[in-house]
Amino acid sequence: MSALAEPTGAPVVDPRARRRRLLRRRFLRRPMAVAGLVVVLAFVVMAIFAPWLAPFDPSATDFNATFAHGTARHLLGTDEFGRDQLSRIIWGARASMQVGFLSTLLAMGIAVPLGMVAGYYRGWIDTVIARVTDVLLSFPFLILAVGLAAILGASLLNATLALGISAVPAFIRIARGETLALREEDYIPAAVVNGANDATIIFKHILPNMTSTLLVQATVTIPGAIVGEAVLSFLGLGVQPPKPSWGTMLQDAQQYLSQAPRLAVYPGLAIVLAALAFNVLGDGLRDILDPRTTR
Amino acid sequence: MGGFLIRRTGAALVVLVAASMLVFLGVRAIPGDPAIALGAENRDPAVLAAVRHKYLLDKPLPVQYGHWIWLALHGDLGVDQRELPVAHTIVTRLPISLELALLSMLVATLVGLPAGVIAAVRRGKPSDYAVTAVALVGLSVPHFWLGLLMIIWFAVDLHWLPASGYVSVAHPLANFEHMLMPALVLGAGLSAVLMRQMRSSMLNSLGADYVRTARAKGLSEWSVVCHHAFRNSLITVTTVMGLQLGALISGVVITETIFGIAGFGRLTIDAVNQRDYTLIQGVVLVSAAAYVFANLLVDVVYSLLNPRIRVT
Repeated sequence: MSALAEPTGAPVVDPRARRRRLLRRRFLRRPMAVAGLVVVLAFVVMAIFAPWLAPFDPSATDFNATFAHGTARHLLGTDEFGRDQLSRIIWGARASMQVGFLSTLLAMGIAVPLGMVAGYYRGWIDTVIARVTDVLLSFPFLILAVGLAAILGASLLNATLALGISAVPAFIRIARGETLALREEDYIPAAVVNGANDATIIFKHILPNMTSTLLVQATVTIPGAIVGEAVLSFLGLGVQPPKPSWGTMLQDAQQYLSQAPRLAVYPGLAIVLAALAFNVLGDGLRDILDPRTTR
Repeated sequence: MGGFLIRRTGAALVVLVAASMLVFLGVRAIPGDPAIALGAENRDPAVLAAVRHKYLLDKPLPVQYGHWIWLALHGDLGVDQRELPVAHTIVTRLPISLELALLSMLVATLVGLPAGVIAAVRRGKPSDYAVTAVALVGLSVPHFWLGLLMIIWFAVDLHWLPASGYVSVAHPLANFEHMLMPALVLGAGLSAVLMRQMRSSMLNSLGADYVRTARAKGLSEWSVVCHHAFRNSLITVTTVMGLQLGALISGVVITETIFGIAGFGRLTIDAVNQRDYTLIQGVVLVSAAAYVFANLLVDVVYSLLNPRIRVT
């Protein structure tokens, strides 16, 4: 039936492909966002290929070369056990990216269905979910994460769980708000007339239309989780030494601030660079996905 | 207005009760037998039974919860592992953290608000880009790293400021010396958030009709910016500052840990590390209560500033 409506001769352009091309062009015009994406990808590559990229075993000690300055052999020097800083930072990227991505995925996996159900059905189920969200939000983010880490015990996996659960309320609010707005769109009654059931409407018509909002929120949540992991590990509630993580490296470095201040500098730079890259990328995505903010 | 206040306060109370239950159950979900921790690691069955009896651990959970809340409402949060009253410990530690929080908010206001206004007024000019870039870096630098860097620079290298510790306000100068770095560290992140919010709400205000009217009637640019755009932008900024309270409390925890300040935040971490159940319970309950109350306060202030919100 659509063949009749198609004007002959004109090239058939899939509207989705056109939108994708438009977004790509708008993205490429923002050098900051592109730079952010490049740095993010660099960290992801570092995390995945850590065993091959790191020049040394991150836990290998060398008591003949403790507190070594940067040399050709140890580019960023060594710590109090003679462990290679560069290798530990590369392996630390693995912990950070793992926590950043997995906790955000976990938060989305829990929160988005709940938020959509609350926003779509409203009524009592909305009230229940909104109240639970309020209660979770009544704990400051770090207090909640510290509390959960205390309950679950200190480890990388538990830090991921704690940070993921702590990020749930924000995602519920966003998914709920978006669903409330989207269910008023004209294409929802159209889908109902076409005989779509609730699940089809929620997953095929509402969810795809809020992906850009969720994506932007994810680029805010991931750096939050990366910093959160560093904080938890720094406080002794995350990754446990001797496993390398940027937070545990800073915790170690704290004892040698006057002796080897450089030990506190590089892991922190890695955290800042990673968080900054995600934030810049998120800002860029927000700008290109939200037509209201385009200049 | 009265109805709004009652509804909002009621909702806050419901949230607080649920939060207290969650704290109570959460502490009981911490692995390990609390009786062993409370009885100073003494594993003698008779001692354990006595400890269980003393802390009501042999009673069903609802009874324990009711007892805890009843005493908490009377200002008694029980005693910690060292037999010190938790409520008293919290009351002595809180003012230190409040001082830190207030000082850092002062830093944020003094830096963030003017920076945001300048960026908005000079939108698209180099000064806008500079301020925005600094704020973005400020957002991405974790407190604890900034704290370590400042200790390296100002305490270890330059010997200008003490690296850690706290001196009571009774000695104002020493107190200021000890609080300066922590306040700057905590204030830096807040300034960045405040600046970004101020910039965007100033941009909204500057594009509004009343600003055009103000310009059209010949007011000076200074007057337009300060009296019309700035004052209206403050409404959204108030809410955002309210939303930052959670970040502020989290920041206090970290900042106090780095600078060795024996405040409420440090107490929280110590309680978790020592697995001191009564202390954890009390500390988390107080921080949740403070957070809920502060948010209520923000809502009330917001409704006073912006009457439209009361209807919805």
